[in-house]
Amino acid sequence: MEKKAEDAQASQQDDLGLGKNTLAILSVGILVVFLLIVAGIYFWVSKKSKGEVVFPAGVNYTGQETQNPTQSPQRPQYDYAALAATTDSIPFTSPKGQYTFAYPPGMIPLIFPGDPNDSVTFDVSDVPAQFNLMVLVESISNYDPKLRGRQEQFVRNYWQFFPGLKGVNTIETSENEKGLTGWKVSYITKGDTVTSVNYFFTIPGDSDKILHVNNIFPSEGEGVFAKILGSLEYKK
Amino acid sequence: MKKIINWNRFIVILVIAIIVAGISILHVIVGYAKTPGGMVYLWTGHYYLDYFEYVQAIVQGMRGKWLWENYFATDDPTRSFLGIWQYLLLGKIGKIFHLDPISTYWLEVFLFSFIFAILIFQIIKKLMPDSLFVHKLCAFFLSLFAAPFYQIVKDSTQWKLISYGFWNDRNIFWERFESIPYHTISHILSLLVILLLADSLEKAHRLTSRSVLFRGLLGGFILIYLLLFSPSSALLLILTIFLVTFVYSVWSLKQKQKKYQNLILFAGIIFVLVIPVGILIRNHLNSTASRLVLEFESGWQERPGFRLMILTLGPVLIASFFGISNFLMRMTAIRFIFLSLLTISYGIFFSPVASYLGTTNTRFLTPLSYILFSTMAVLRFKSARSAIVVTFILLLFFLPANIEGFRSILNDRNISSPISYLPKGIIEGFRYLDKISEKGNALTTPSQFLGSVLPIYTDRHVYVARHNTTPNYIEKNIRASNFYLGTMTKGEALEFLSKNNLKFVVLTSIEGYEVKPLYLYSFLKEIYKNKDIVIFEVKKS
Repeated sequence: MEKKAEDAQASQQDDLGLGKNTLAILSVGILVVFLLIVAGIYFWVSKKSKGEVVFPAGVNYTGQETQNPTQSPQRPQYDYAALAATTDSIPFTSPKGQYTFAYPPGMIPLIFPGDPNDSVTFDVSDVPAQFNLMVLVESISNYDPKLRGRQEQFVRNYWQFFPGLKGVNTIETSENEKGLTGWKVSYITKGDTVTSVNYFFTIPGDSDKILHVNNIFPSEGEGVFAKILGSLEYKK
Repeated sequence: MKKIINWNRFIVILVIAIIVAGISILHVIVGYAKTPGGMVYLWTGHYYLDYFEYVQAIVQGMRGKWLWENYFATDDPTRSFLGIWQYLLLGKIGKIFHLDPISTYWLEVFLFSFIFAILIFQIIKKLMPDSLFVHKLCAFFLSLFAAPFYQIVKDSTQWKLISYGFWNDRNIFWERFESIPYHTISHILSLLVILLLADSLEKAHRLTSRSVLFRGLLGGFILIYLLLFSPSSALLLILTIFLVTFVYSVWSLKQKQKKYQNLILFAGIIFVLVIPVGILIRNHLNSTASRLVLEFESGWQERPGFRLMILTLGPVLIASFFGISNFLMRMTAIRFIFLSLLTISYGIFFSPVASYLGTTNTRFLTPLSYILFSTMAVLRFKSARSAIVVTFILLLFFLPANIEGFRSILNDRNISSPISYLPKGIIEGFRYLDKISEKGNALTTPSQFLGSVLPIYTDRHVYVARHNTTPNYIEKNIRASNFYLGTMTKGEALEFLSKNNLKFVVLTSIEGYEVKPLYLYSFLKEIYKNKDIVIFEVKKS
């Protein structure tokens, strides 16, 4: 009975039509080839990446070592005129897939993994990026549950949730090229300055969420912001 | 009958498992290759903030700890999640082999992926006992590399491949062989429970009570272990055990066979052990910081339509329909177990149960379902040549989606994060901090989440790291910022440092804060500086 089992096994050894140890030798050969491929990928990638130094938040550094450790890391230097003029664009989808927009090639969007507001921004001012968000999805009930479904009132009252603000400066309805509707508003700070323009777009079918867009760009970047704003869409 | 090991086939499977394990870490090898000069790569092959938590737990194990402690806050050492403790054990194993924490992590990813692949083949062998080796091999390849359907579209500039799918759908290789040791451990344990259950069902008629008791206890303890870090996997298995033993018991009762008594005993031991522990764990999760995660996840439910589901599961699902009749013709215990597991998995996924349990329904999608689909698909073919041809065609079809999946991982900003590469000087500074004998916590800025990295290199708590692990994160974020911006008075700054036992203040070149305000604090003494980091000690007087 044991011999029968051996014969059965022996005959099954050839179901690939290969010789006795061919399978094992072939397998080891494939493993060697795989390891060579991995080594090849490693050397090719390391050669291709030579000279690139990437600092956090995507800032590309030219490779000069800083002598003075007190210097701040370089912010990306954008040529806003060229960026506004280009017809090329790169699609962006928010980390949670709630909205999309297109931005000019050469710009580096910054996201914040784990952020419940699904926000994105660009490093375009002196304010640290995490305090200068460009797009975020806000939940109205987080501010005041009674304002849920009353988006316009929320927008008019938004300044009340921030101790640095004291009122609304201007407010008007707004619609972007992709059909998002809402309001364009600026607020007055306690120091009597006017904030940058904020856009709040309602989200169809959701009375609690609102898409908040903040114009974080300097004046020379207005054209770029307008392109981004115009391409903004909410993904269903 | 004496079992003869076919060494040739054994080597084939071994080689495939090694290759699979190698592919599972290929993205970090590429990441390492990209390391710029003067930088250190932190091997972030998974969502970086979670990854640093796991590596830090490995560090704790290497430092001799047996209970995990939250190093990412100065005021809440107990903030934790249950499953993290096993990383301490992995750290202790790594220390035995004189490995550093990051090497330990990735060697363990490699090892567990290897074991998982081997087990998949073992399961396929049991699912296809009458098939030729080549058929099993085909099913093995399909289960490893199955991918979804995809479309090729052209946007304004280039052609793009877009795979069908949704978050956490497990439909490509890298979502089944994840770079997270305890996820792979959960799959390994699930397969072991399935093997134990199948073996127990087949032998139920001749098992002694002692043997049943042992098997029940073994299964129960494995499931309790699973409950600690993968309760969704444990629940799937518990329900599968319930369904399968119920059906088998009813059937054997009808056949007037005594084995139903053993089956009821086996399942009963498991339920008596596991259900109370499951309730305790659920209550524990609801009472801790994990509650926030539960609330978040319970709102995150994927509801794909029927069409999207088919497209997501991919061609292997379609192919499996053609082999169903051959699969059902010879119903074995393990085949029935897998059918039950699949039914329960998709049943929960499409139901509101997950939301009620406080988790996302995607956690109930098991990668093990691809083993079943692949087996069924190959069973369609009696001839080895047909099986090889169809498998080859399917693998070719899968290739673009798998390549695209790999590219996505390489470009994923959660993986190639802002702090995946750090200047060498920063790591040297962190290591210097570890050499100082004086105890005390360290302050880092909230920018760039370096608070998540520092405790990997030094045995000190940090004031602020990331949302999940640092309670009152926003408030601490602002307070730390104010300190670094120099907007606190001397008294406020001293009180802030003293209240949180912050003995060291760290600032690096990548965080965007000026160092000058720190020099204006008279109570700070510079103790270390290089071009990338400066470290101050809070003077005692």
